[in-house]
Amino acid sequence: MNRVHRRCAGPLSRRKLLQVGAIGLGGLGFSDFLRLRAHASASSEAVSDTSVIFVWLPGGFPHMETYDMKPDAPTEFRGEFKPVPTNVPGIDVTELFPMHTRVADRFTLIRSISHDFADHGGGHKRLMTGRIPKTPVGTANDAPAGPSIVAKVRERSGASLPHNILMADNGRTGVDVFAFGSAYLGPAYTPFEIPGNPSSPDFQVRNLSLSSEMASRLDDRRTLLAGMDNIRRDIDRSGAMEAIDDYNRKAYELLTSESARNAFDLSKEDVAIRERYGNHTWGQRALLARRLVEAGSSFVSVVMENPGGGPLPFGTTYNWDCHAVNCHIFTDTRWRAPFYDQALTALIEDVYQRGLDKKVLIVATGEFGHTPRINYSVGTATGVMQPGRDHWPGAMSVLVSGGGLRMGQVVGSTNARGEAPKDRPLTPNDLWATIYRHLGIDYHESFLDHTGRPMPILPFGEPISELI
Amino acid sequence: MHRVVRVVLLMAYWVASFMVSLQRVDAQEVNALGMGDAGMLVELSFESSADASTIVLRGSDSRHQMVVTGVFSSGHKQDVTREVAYQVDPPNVVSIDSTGLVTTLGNGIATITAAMGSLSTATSLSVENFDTDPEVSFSERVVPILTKYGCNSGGCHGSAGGQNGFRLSLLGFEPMDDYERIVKESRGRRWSIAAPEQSLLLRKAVGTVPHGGGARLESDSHEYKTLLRWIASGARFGDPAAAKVAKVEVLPSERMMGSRGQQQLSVIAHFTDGTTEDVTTTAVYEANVPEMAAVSEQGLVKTMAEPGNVGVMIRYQSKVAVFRATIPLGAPVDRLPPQRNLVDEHVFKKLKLLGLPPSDLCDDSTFLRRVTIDIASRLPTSNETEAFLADTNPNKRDQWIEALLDSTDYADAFANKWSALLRNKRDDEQMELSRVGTYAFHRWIRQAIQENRPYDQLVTGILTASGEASENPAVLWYRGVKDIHSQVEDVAQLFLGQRIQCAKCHHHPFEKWSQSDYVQFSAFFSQLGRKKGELVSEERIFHRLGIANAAHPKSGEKLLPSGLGGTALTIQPDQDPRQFLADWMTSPDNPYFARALVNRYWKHFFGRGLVDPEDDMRETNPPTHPELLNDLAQEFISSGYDMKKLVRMICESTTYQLSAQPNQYNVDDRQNYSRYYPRRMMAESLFDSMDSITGSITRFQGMPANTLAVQLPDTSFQSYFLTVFGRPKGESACECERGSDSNLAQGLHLINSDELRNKIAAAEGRALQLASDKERAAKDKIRELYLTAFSRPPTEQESALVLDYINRKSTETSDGTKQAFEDIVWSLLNTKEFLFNH
Repeated sequence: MNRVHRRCAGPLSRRKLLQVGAIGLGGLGFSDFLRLRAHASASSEAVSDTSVIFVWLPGGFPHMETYDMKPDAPTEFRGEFKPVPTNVPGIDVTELFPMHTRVADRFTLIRSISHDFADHGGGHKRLMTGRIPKTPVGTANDAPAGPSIVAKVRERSGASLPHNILMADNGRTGVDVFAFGSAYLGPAYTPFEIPGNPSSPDFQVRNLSLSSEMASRLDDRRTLLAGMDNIRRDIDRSGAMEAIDDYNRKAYELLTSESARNAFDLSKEDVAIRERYGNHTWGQRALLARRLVEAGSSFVSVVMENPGGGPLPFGTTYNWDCHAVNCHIFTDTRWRAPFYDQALTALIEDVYQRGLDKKVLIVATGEFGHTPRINYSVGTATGVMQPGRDHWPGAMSVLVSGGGLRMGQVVGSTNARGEAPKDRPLTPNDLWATIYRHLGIDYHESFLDHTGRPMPILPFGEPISELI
Repeated sequence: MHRVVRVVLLMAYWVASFMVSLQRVDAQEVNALGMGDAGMLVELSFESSADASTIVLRGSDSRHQMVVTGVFSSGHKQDVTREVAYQVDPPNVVSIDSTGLVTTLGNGIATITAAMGSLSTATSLSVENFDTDPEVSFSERVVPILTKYGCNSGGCHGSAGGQNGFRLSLLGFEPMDDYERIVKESRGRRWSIAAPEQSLLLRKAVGTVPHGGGARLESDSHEYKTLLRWIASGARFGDPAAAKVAKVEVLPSERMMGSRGQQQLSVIAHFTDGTTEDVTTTAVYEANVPEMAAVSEQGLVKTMAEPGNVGVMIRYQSKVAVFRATIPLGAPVDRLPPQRNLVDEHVFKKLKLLGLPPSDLCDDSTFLRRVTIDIASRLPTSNETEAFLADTNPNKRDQWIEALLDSTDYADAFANKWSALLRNKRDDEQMELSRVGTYAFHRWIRQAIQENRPYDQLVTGILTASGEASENPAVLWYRGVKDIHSQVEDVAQLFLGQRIQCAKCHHHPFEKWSQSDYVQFSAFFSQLGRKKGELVSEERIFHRLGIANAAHPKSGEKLLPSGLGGTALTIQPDQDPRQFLADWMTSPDNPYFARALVNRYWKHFFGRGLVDPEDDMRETNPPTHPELLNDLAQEFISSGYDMKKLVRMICESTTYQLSAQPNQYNVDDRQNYSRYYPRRMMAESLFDSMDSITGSITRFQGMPANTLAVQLPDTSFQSYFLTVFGRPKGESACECERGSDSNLAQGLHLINSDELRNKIAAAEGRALQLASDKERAAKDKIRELYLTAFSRPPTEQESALVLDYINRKSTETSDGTKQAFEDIVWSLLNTKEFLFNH
């Protein structure tokens, strides 16, 4: 049912594209888009209840410490940790991920994705947009991030929840920090951000928490507003006033409807489940993500940076960026790995147990891997010589789970030292093509950029055939 | 209302059709509504090209589209191509069908007569080479078919990677490459001379083998037969030196059309050898306002209900032409508001032509609020409003415009606009270090706006800037616009209204610009030198000695600099080519520079450009008011590029001061300015207005207290509010980067954010202050709130409603009065009357 027909729409009208793209007029744009899509592919709408939980590991997930162990490589490459077998013969993961070993039949590892952008900015942009960034640095992306595309395509589908939700740490919530920007799609498609630590007892979702006092006042206010909002609506033919009314209705629904509010309320979960995910930022974000996709959101990004949300232990660093100057890579990985192991496997198990594994696709990735060869440097924070790895877009590992895809396999491999894909070289675009296919989005469709040029959602890339 | 009138009129026509003469009936049927009574048909004529009086059809598959125009006693001209009866003499040369399409039968000369009632007209044409078909040229015959049926479009085989291993050049601009790919690639499977029908090219096109793009051609179509004949005769490229298309011409090029009317077009290609050929069926058509007109593949334009102007872009090979239709509404326009300047002259002329009565002049409150937002990016204060409403001076509107232009608010507002367009922002990587220069460039821009530096000097100052930011902040433009391509593209889009990005890699699909034009334009920046400045984040910009030139990426040929459509310049090695570019741009004869600016400013005040989008002024995207655009540009040039004067002229016009309230006729008008079109306030104005209504103060990090959002020197200040309401990031030279769409996050933020809640309940805020003021009557307080948010006093009814609310709340709880005022302020901020400029 997930087939995206490989059909080009033929000589599409430039103006129609224009409405879909940069200059969508209020509510008009999407119906045109639907029309275009109907023209291109009759099946697109059939899969509108699918969703993605995107686990974002900024700094770059160190593949040699985690999913792509090279125990036979020379010491200066292989690192301290040992691989361990899982419940699927042939899939080994780091000994730091014991919980992974029980659910390997429910995920697939892709070991052969690579690209050319070694800066965090360029790497983030490369990963998030499915395009070759114009500049190799800076995180303000020049093309919309995948989640923005999803939000654009799904904007008129029924759910009351936003279709592009991002959970990131306070202080680093600027969409540009993660190349989650919407570029020429406009600010309407930037992520709905949930900053903060959901495991903290006083956690509240920004702009969504309504005290009981405010709840009753909101009724009064709405009544008063209805009496005061008197301007004649027929003065506006652009649809802009109507769109505001529409979104406000949606906002009130989110604020007042039981089901929408419940989606954000982790206290509705069993204590056992909450504990299974882990009482830390990563675990509770992952759990919240599951609640949100269950309630109808299409794309929820879970950022995993500082797992505890608190001060960093000696020798560790803020995110996955395990340079020697930042941290002692083995200390750091040993510290953060259990949080990840717990949160991610809880999510996988939970999604399967609830029968969501066809509807929900889980993807865990950073912007690149880290250098296969270990180097040493004096740590800025520790002041001592310590091992680390630098940025390495030449090879990276990605985990996918669910989505009705074929699990329990390893796709592709890297050479003996984990430096480059050996077989099945893939690009981040192949990953996105797989994601869009799952969401029923025809990634051959185009949006217009700020110059009026039609930009296909993905300029290249194919769904990863081993997963289908 | 007018719909009813139309139905009645239509019924009257039907009734009449039974009672009057046949000729009269025909005339009635083609007489579209909205243009008034056409009267009697008095003349018929074939549309013909002025440059090619004789029509020659070469080869057996040649075709020609006839267009017959009927002239009525009222002077109206209407398409009667499908209404007339055709006769051909002698009958064995050509045949013509009821749509006016001529096909060949044999060599010779024939006369075609079109008749209607007692009137008729005739034209002659000749057929040559009927038995000795000229060779099918790949570039002239095959490529246009690939274009017409979308094979080489960007979404299909024209994409950079092609589709399914088959790649074509985008829109067929590289026929030589396309030929190689069709004939030589894929081991020659794409064509077969032995069994032409079995050629993959044809089987895919008609869908007899699976084709991702579906069936695109009928196997009995003219195009299919052309492709088949090309393959059968050996699939040759043809003579590469053969005549090329020099221009395309559309007949007619302009027409007044009724709503729900139709017009057949005829498209003539003129070749470099002087021959002409009808390409109506192979040309590609597109209406620039699809809500107003649709065009069939055969070039039949059908208009819809909306009155105004619609352009139809016609594309054939690399050439374009435009058909412009004017669709009148036909309502009586007997009462026009006073005409104040050339803006009104042209707009009202058009409204009369269209029969589209304008709304009334807006009231003082509306004017005051509107013009203050548009010029000064803020709301008038309640005191300003009280004073303005009380002022009895008949010139008070002009005086207020003058006062705004003299204020620093004007400089803040337009510096904010230009700073984003000039991409003045801090370097991502060096936020702190690059702050100094960024602020300096903002000050430089603001200073220029404030002192009303002539626009030509402003732009010259930026383009020719040399040195370091500490000496000349304008060099900062070269920091944000770093590489030569961005320089070319930003200058073209921002200052010339031309989007030439496409021409970087291929011929512009909708414009005349070729890759050579792009390269020659880029040569102006070829000698731009950079070296390390005193500050890490700043570079020194200088002229590198040498003759400006740039290499064509395909031919490698070194090309000399040239303005778009200008002549190539040889510039001495020690002369900075950027000065020559600035001179070319700011010359009074430059066809783009002044027009682009006046169009950009028009859009700022009216929400729609005379050409829209405002920076896409291609030939194929015609202005709604061409004479107005010309006159405004001329006026701007003769004023010495005086931007304040331009703003003054626009704001003083009656057109700008029309009410947004529609009358019975103009509710659907979106391009003729028969009423004002409301727009949501931009992010910065909204933010500052929130502060002024709530009475709270925002401190932006590192800025002095009371700095407004519109005064921020760049876009790097974190603000969730500004972000969700669409503040641009300064990533491009396009105004479209500024978001005006609404979204859920905006709704939630206005309804339930801590930020707004805190502003509304601020200790220094207006709500608390009004609630605790025991002296003033509640009615006065309500008046103050309405004046502040809406620039008008409340109506009796509104006042009563709000008063009622205060009374009710104050009895409910101890801090009920405070709550009531907070609720009122909250409600004001959530009304459309507040959020919109209207």
